[in-house]
Amino acid sequence: MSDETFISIQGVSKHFGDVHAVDRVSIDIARGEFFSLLGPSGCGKTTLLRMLAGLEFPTMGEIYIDGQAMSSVPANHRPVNMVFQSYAIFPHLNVKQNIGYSLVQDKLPKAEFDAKVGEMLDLIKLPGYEDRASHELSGGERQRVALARALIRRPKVLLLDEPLGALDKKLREKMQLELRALQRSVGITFVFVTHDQEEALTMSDRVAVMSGGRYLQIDTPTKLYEAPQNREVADFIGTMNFFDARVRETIDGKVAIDAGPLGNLTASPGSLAFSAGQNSLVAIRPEKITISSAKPANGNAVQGVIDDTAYLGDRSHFYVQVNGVEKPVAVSAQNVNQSQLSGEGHQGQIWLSWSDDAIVLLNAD
Amino acid sequence: MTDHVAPAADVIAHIPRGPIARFRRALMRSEALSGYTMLSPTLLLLILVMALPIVLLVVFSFWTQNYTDIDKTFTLANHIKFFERSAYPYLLGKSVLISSSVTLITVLLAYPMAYFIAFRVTKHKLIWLILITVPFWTSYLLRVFAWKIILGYNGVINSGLIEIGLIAEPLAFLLYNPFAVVLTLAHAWAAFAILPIYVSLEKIDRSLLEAATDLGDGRLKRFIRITLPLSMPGLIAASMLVFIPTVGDYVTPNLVGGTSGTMIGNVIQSLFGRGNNWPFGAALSIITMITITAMICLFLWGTRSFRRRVA
Repeated sequence: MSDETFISIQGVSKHFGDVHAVDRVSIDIARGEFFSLLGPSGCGKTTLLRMLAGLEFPTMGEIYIDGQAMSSVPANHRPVNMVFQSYAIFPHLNVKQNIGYSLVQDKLPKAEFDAKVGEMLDLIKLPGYEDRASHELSGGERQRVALARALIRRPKVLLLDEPLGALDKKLREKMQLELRALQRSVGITFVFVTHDQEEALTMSDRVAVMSGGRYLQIDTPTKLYEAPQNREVADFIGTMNFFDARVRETIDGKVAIDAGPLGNLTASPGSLAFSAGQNSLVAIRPEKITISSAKPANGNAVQGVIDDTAYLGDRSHFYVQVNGVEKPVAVSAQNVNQSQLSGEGHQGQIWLSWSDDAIVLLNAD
Repeated sequence: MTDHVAPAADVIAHIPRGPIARFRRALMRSEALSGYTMLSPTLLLLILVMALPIVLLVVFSFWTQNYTDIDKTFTLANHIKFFERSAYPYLLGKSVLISSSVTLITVLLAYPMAYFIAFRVTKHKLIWLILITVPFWTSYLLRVFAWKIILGYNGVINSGLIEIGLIAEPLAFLLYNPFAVVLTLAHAWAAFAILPIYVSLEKIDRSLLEAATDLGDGRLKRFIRITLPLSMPGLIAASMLVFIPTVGDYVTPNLVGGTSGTMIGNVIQSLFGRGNNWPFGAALSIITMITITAMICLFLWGTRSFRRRVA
């Protein structure tokens, strides 16, 4: 992956009547990047993708692909191809005709045509499928054929509109890895739309978290999870515990906070700025909190009572009532030992503890 | 899983018996049986009013009419007579030609209409569909007479053209010829072509069209490679719905066709009526039916090879 900007979305808006589906979005995507647009349905991610494909045109703003302005380039002349959510496999054509659909414009001799289709079939691991009718394909196979069809002319950008949504969990996880490996091997820039945060985090180089037609944060998966920039992102990605707090003072790049029932805490501000007396938000991930029966020797700790337990196999979730905190605190613990599931035997008052490092400090809205 | 436990004797005793209960159980168990049961009223009616008359028609065609009574010895004379007199094959050929023209014109005019409703109309589609059926609210005869008024010697077109001074004498070639028959039939059968084509277009997944565009097709290419093949079932249905009934039509040619617009249906009608030669009428009907079947087969074969070529 190079840092060179390959796709540049500049101040793009799309209005459908009074609805601002996409609202003044500017994003730069690098060549060869696996970039995801993540957000709930209706956040504008699909509209943005369709504008990249040329299936919708921006109301305002401009999209550049490889330095070329796209506002006057129709979909069929763009150097991009798309994998549709429904796969859009042509029902009246067989696998070979589907995959080779876009090759017809190159007027290749038959042998070369067949060779290219065969090459794609090898790539998607469906060799020998040339003459299968489209209705004979399973969901996963349709997805692969759609992928091969979009990749056969080596587009500069591949757009994927929730392509894994219709697959079952096991197959989806397998396809996530395969798609990622495929992207590395072909070296094409992928723009991937999904509402599944796990999918976005697993596969992407960078993710734009979108909401209400705008993006909230664009970052690497690790940064999004470990250092969200605002409450919405912290809340949308994974599970997060929030506590109201007030900044006491800032010293040596550290922020001292008064987190009420949690006591006085120290956190690093990340890229955000804080000033003394400001209202802020302490956010801690459930897996970064430890449960113990006895008070830990040092570090941050607070006492509570387990309200509810959920067993998830590899880990368990606990919901802990802490005095002065409105919502129960979510804690996640790995079940390392079969005989001694974590949390078992914790009755009555328990202690929750966490390190300074676990604290994400956010601005209160 | 719990173990299977045999039902207690008193439970078995309560299973209802008797023919109705047994039939009901059989219905529940067999899909084929319940299917035929649902079909049976229609099936019965079809056997009575379709299959039986056709068998009778075939039988009749092998008999001979002797003035008032019918000679029931087997003969092929009626069929041979059809081929011996060139007028009959000519009339049948003309009927097929007129119907083919009607079908072609109707489908060509109906397709854009159906396409417009399916792809361009976004609101109130139902109103458009109802509007298409509006002509059917008046009787067929009235619509044919309307065409007579439009095309006639002193009709709307002629008097209009005279009024604006384009012609001095009324045009005589508008009415009482094959052209008038084709025009009237094409108008009368338009809805039967629009609706099946509309349904097949409406069924096309819009993302298929977007995919074709994304893969480099312009509008025309996309239409030929995706829209047209996928609407083929509707196109075929429309063609058959128009072609089959119009070959045998005798009302329209009778009213607007004149002598040159006579079709095979007119002859068959007169043979069963004034001509009083049922066996020969039956033979003509059977030959017409076979010709139509052959034409349809040819048409289906043609469309299939078109689809294969486009792919």
